[in-house]
Amino acid sequence: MIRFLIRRLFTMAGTLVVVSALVFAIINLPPGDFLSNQIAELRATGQEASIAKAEFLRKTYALDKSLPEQYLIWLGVWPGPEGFNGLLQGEYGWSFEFDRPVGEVVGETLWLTVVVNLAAVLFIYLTALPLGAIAAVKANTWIDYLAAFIGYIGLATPNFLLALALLFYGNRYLGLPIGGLMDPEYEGKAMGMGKAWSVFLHLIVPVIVIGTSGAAAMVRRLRANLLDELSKPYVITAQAKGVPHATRVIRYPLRMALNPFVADIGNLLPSLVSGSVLVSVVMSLPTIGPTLLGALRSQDFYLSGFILMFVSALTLFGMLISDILLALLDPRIRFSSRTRN
Amino acid sequence: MSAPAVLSVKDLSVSFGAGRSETRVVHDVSFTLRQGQTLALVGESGSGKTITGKALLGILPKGARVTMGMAHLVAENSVDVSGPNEPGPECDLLHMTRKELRDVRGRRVSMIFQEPMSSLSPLHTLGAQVMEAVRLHTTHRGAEAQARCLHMFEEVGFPDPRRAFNAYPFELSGGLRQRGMIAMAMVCRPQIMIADEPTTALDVTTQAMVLDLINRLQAETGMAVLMITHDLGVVANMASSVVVLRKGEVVESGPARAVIGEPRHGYTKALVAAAPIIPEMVPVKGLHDPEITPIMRARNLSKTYITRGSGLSQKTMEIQALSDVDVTIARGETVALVGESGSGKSTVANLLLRAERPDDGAEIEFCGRDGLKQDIARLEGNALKAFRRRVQVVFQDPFASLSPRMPVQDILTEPLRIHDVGNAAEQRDRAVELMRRVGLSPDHLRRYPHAFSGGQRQRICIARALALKPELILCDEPTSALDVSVQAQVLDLLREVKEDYGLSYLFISHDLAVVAELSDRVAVMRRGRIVEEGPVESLFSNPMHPYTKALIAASPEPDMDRPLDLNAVAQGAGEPHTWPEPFGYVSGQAPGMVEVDHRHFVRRAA
Repeated sequence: MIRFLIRRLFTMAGTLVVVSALVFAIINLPPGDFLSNQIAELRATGQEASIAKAEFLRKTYALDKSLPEQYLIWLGVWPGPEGFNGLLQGEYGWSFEFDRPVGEVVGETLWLTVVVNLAAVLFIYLTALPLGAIAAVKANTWIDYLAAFIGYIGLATPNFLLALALLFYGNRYLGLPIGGLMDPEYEGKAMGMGKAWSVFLHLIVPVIVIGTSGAAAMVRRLRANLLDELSKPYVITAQAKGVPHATRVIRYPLRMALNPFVADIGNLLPSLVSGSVLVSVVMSLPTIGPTLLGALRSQDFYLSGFILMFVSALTLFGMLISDILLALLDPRIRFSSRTRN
Repeated sequence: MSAPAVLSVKDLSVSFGAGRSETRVVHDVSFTLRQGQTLALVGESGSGKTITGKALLGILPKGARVTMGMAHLVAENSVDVSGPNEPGPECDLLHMTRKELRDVRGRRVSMIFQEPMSSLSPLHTLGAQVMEAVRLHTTHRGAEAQARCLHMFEEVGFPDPRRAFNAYPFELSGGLRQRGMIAMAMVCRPQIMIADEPTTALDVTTQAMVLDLINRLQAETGMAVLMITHDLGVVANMASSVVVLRKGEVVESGPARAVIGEPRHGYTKALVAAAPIIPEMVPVKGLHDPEITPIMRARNLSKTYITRGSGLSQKTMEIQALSDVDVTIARGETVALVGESGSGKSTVANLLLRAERPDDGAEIEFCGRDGLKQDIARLEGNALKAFRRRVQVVFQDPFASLSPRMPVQDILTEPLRIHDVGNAAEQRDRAVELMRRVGLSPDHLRRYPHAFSGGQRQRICIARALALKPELILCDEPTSALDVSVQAQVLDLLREVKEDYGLSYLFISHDLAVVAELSDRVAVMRRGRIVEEGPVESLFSNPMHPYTKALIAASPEPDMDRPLDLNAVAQGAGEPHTWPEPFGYVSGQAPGMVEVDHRHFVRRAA
């Protein structure tokens, strides 16, 4: 197991390096960069002092160097104008648009993004597991049809519409707060009980909105998997042994049907991050999605590059977790390496 | 016969569906199961024998229900110290509440199934699965329960009970898995064990040992066994009485000796007649003229598979699937490769077809009708494609080897299209001709495979193999998925087309009876080597190698006076190094082949 983990971590690091090269190449695909655009604009309006600053930034961030060099400097494996100073050293670069370091711009939104998405994943699993299992066991009864109906609504309704509707009714009947991820009084404050509670209240609607379609898809998938397993011979063996119905379903076929369910964790994270951009805009959530959109549009490449790297790392991490869980859940996966050796 | 009855089933009827779409699959079946005896429920597929067994435990598949009848289970006469306070009362298995039924399942009536791999959960250790039965039905917990399981594992013959306890099913061989199933069924000392084709998926030597185990456990505990099987050989070895089912109805029942020895009903007679028997004397078949140029001659066939271990070290391991196998097939001859699973017989077929490449040093010489000799091991490109026209295959499972989305006509003309033979009209004519040849109506060419029965599908597979007018056909267990009555017909067809088209066969099988009937020469394989080879009449009348003897001894026959010879099985069925002198492999080295009779070779020290 330890060796498996070490191997996985190695491949993960390798993948990240490849991803970083891809990210860098893609951001640099459109001609020009933020600074040259800005310099051209300033020249046109004749603000020489600002041009000097822009030129200074250009030097500092090595934008006058060749692309491969820029890439290596960005990574932090090549000495730039200020020595080794890149992602590896924890220096994320400068956001030209906001005129602040990337770390500062991204700041809290990074962790709020993680919180929102983890909450959404949790919501998806907690609703999909029981609903999917019940839908399979009671296949083709009214419970199954009801679950399918709710699922289709979740899949078919546009997220932002659902967001608006839920915000309105949630506020009107339950007094749930609208917009943002916390009350304004807590912004910029240290974490405390009050702040946590406020974040929790604000999370309810976004999590439901972001998670519903994922949960609906997951319910359908789990139902199909479990239906296949329910009539397998080993379930009949358990029945012939005298195992009560509920125990029988949970202990045997459900565990078998969990594999694809668990393997989905890795795929879920990135689709949640990119899928929640629109919702974040509509609900004015301080998550990373809208920032990424802006950064890509204005070619603010340190900012967009960092966010893309962060999302990739998150995805790889999700994959790692699902691999570990799979190995824990299924002895066949765990043993496949041992028996071959 | 005067043993007290344990279970009396009266007028059991089971139906699928309800109302107008109701189909009865079991009609008024009655029988009595007696203490310490085995009753066999015999029938071919679709006879309702499995449904009958499942109905007794209330584990019918969805849509099936008992419409009539009763199954009277007598009260337990003693109670296990660890069990519930009172002995199980007299009851009717078909009319019980769910909770009462759960108490009966696994404790008073237990069941084992055909496929031990899929009948055990792959995610739980064998121990955990057996412990579950103990925990459900007894007061034993923890160490006490575990001790009980380990004791049971020992009784069913696990060489290392503790290892088996912690093993997952996929880590065990088929025979051990089925022993695990039996342990699970027996651990609560049931009054009745229902065994649904318990040995059908196992190799013959393993089957013999598992059947012996069931007999022994029955003698020790006095439980009654309901044996559901299609194999009259198993019946003759196990049962004291027999119920023959056909399309859900009892056609004949009575003591085993009477039913098998002197069957009265036409269907039973047909079943007994069709049951495969290994003849003691096989009539001399071909001339075995060594002068005839062989159509295929393979020398030094070896195949090593390399598995890559995972982990940082990437340690590799070699598995020798085949070592120095020589096969020669004369034109017009049928050569059989016989062996149990893992013996390497299918690997030989794959190499001869060039589906896989042999290890270096192998020679495969093919000599077609045109007299041209080719080395198959080195063929490439167009020459290889041309070779494929001349050698065709018939596979084991006619359900899996026909595409369900192609009508029969497309299936039969596809080889012609691939090799560009004739135009569309000619291809169609060829398909019609082939259908007639294999005994199917050309009117059915537009139908899809699902519209045909297993035997008919295998006929389609044979027709497909014949489409390109091949010279050699490899038959990979062509009849082992079929009912016995159908099996005989398919073998007849194979024999006929061989005459008609002047074919040669390489026949791969684990079934000695089938081999004896069809082949001219037989090679017996074990662990990647041929251990005995000879003309069929000499091999069966005078088997020399302990493994060949074990195979013959382990094949159950529908003859009450020929019980399985377990000593012979035990002597030959083990690993090569356990074989007695002079056959054993000494320190991994196999002895050479020695000619003991005219063209009859045995692997033994000279």
